[in-house]
Amino acid sequence: MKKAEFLSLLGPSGCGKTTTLRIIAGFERPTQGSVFIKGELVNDVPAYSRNTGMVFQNYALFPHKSVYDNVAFGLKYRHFPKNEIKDRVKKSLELVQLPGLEARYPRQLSGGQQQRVALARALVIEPDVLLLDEPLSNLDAKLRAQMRIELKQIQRRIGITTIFVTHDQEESMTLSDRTVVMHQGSIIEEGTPFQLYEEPKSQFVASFIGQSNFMDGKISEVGEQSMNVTINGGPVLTVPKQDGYRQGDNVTVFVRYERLEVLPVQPAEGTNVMSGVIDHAMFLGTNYLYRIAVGDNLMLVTTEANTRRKLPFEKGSRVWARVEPENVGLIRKP
Amino acid sequence: MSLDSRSHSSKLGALQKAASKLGAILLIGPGFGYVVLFLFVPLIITVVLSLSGASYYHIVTTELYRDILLRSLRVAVQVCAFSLVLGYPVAYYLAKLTSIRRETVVVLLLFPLFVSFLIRTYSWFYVLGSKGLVNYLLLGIGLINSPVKFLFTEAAIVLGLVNWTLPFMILPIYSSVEKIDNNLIEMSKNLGANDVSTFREVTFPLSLPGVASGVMLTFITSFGAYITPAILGGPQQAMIANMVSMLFLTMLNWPLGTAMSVILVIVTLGIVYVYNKVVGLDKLLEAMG
Repeated sequence: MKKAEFLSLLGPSGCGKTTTLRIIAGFERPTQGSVFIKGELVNDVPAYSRNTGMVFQNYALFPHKSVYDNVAFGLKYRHFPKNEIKDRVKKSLELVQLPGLEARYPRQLSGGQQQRVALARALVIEPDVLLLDEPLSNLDAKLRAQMRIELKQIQRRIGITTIFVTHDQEESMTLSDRTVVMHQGSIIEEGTPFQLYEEPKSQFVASFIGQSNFMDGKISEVGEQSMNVTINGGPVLTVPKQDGYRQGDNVTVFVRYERLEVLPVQPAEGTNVMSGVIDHAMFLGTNYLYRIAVGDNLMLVTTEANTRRKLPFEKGSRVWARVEPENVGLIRKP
Repeated sequence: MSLDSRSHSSKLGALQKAASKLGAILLIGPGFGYVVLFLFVPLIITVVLSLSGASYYHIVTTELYRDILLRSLRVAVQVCAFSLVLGYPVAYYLAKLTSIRRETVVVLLLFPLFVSFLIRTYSWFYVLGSKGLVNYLLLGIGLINSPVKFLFTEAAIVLGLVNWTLPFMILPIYSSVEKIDNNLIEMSKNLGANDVSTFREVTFPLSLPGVASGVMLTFITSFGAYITPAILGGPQQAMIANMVSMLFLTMLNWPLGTAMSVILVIVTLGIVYVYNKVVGLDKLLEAMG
């Protein structure tokens, strides 16, 4: 990891992301491999001697200690003088926008406030690395979105190296510089959020991050600029030419559900136009969600609800779905 | 039509309410009546009897009775202290065990309770008596020349009572330690506190409700103990319950006997009251279950 980098460990529950975090914090010993913090091997360093800051999903505030004593805890064991502890606690509570709450007890705070105290307590010791274990998942949706922005701002401002564990792909997309996708104890893929979203190398990542339509097919033609993929029991899709693919290769194509266009009439020209029938239609507020039967395949499509018409298309309507060739992703099939 | 159905449903509701009221009376009535008849009424009679004459003044001013009250308090405090010191580590160890092993240890812990209390108390004779195990060993290694009198002392009562009350101390403490969120322990270590500091800062303070429950149960059982002081203490080391029995059955002094009983009940209720104020009786139910 680079200094001041924000790294996410993303994966479904039980994929080993929390265990990885606990190994870094020193709560568990790795059966193999090594942990280095600031270039130093810490495998045999006990948790209380590693300078890591931790925020748990349930915040783990000491219920019998005031906010002040919670935040001052780490400083006390770093043997700071009393005055300096007071100063630092005050500053860190200001950093998380909770000034003046020193005397309160955790049970007197809202979930969001508890979260901020937990963050202040982890940051006040100026840890070498900040470890966040799903810190936002106990908050309600609105507060979560707000805390997400705040967390990122604080992280940037003090430039702290951060490892963030989450099962929420949206959270990892918006927060991280780099995301590591884990599944069943191993790393599947890593990259920037953009790379993982646009150029995933595996179907697992493509399906875990974002909403995609997957269709199996075979490369039927390789041209100068583009290639054609014949979908099993469905249409032929044109994709930009990519290195390493040959005619006859089995592939899975994936199309993000927001990259499909739904048209009421057949367009006069254009590639990748598929005719289908609306199988299901839903109004979601900011979006419409359709399921379209195209040949043997069902495709999910979302379109922006930018009119006040209730549903532009209804179940049973005949429609045409179109996707730009550059928006069709390819995953090699083993 | 809607009006009709509403009145119908309200009639049905009233009927259901009456039925559930009847059900409640049937369920708790017998038990409640039993307690009122055989506990409340006698207690009131006891209090009334104790107020006839100057019984309380007599108890406070007579050295014998004062000694007995003080001994009862002293024994109860000592039993609490020893049970706590011996029981806390066991409770802590128990809470950190895996659940399968824990069951085994809990069964072992409760095993003495399956043996008659009287037999357990008398068996101390074989340990503490002049020809008992302890004297035999001490004489054997030459530390003493003649048997030491262990039986019929206050220490013997404390020893016997600790043996009895340990499970009441261990179980609530175990239950409160076991409930402590492991994240709190890890958080404390993460912030730089080692195992000892973490115990002092987090585990122990959070186990205090369990300690309070254990101390309360232990205090109440040992303060009002009857069999243990009667057998291991003898008449010279009588405690409050033994005195009550003596006053009623031997000396036939009912006013004094009832006054002694009332003091016992008041001290007990006082402790429960303080416990309820500080910790809350609901915590006790939690700790036991």
